[in-house]
Amino acid sequence: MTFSLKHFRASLSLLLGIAFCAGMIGGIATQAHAQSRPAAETILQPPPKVPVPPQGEVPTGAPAQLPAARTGKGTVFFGHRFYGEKEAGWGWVRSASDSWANAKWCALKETPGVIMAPFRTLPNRWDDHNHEYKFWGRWADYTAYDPHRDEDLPVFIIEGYESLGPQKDLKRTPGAVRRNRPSRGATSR
Amino acid sequence: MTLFPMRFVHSLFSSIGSARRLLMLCSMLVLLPSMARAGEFIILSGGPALRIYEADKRATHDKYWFNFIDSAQLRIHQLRPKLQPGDEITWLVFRPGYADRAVEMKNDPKELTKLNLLDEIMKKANAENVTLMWIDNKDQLINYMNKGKDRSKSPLVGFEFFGHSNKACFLLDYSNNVDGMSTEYLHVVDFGKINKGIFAKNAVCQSWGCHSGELYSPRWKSRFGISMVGVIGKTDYSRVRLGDLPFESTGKNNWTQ
Repeated sequence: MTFSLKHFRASLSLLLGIAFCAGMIGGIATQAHAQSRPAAETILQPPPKVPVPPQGEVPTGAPAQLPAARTGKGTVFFGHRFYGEKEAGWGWVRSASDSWANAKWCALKETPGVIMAPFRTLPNRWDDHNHEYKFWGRWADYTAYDPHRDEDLPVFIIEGYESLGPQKDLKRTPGAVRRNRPSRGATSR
Repeated sequence: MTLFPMRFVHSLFSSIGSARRLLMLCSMLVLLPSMARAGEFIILSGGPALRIYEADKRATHDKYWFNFIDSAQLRIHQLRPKLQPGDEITWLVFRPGYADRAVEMKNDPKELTKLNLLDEIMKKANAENVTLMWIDNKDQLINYMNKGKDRSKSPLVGFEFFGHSNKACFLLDYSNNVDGMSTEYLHVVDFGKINKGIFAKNAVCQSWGCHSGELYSPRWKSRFGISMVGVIGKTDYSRVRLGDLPFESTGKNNWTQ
């Protein structure tokens, strides 16, 4: 049995065929591999870590420094601050001769550029939760509508304040004494 | 012989008179619906919050001062070609909200944009060729709806609101006079002050505020007999500045009426 030219040609074509198939498979594999791994520049960077804002009601009530006094003139009132994320009211305000049981849950009318609520001098608006203040000011002749509660609240126009520091919780539920809920509970906006 | 032609001429003229009267009657009948349809379309824009009250809140509102103005302008663009001949658009804007926000922008050193917002609104109204009416309180709004025009001749053919709202209330101001509160608002209990017959039969009403579909729309329908499209949930004004109308925030298309 001799190795003829015919046999040589057949072997060569067989080898070439095997090499071609191997190349194709390799190429496909390389392509698939390339598809599974995107180019380095297209890989998104992980999102930057940002400080998570306080969730829910997290009043500390212990600021490093109490708001500096801004005394006013005229009638003196007393205020007990209450913070709630879903509460638009400022807290309770009573006249000097009244008790906390008769204090009104109210909105605070600030005057930008003149006088603002004491908590605005603190790092966070919840920092003076359960603090009490000596107030100078007056009751407004209009009410304010709290869209979270669907209630009309009396408005206290602040003209001066002096911090009396943190006090015990009043054990009272926020909200108007006389409920005005024609829609029987509106949701927040 | 002489009488016949006279009679004939007389009867001819009388028949012509009758035909003319008939023609006038027909033309009136044809024109009457279009004359009755001519009315007023009210667009109401509430005011923005002050940033001094909102900046430190987690759910902060109204970073952009013209959310309720630009959206109203976009809507006017959309509505104008759809109105019947003779219909007019009147744009009611709550003035104190924009006056206060402009003062705040002017006095805030961090705010780079210094605009007289009232002037800007007037320019937009002129550009749209609509009547601009400033309102300062709820009573003015109710008074205009009732008596701004003779509602028997010029009924309201539409009413749309852009502004803050909850399910019971359109808030003309929010966090503008008092932090987190409204001092001028149109509550469902105020519907009794608005005359029932001010709307045309085919009037279209829509609220682009939050939660209106939950209570405001059904109460509106029961008071005026006109549907008001409103959303169950919140509306989102974040794309108004890019030229889009407010959209329902969850993407579930929770509009109802």
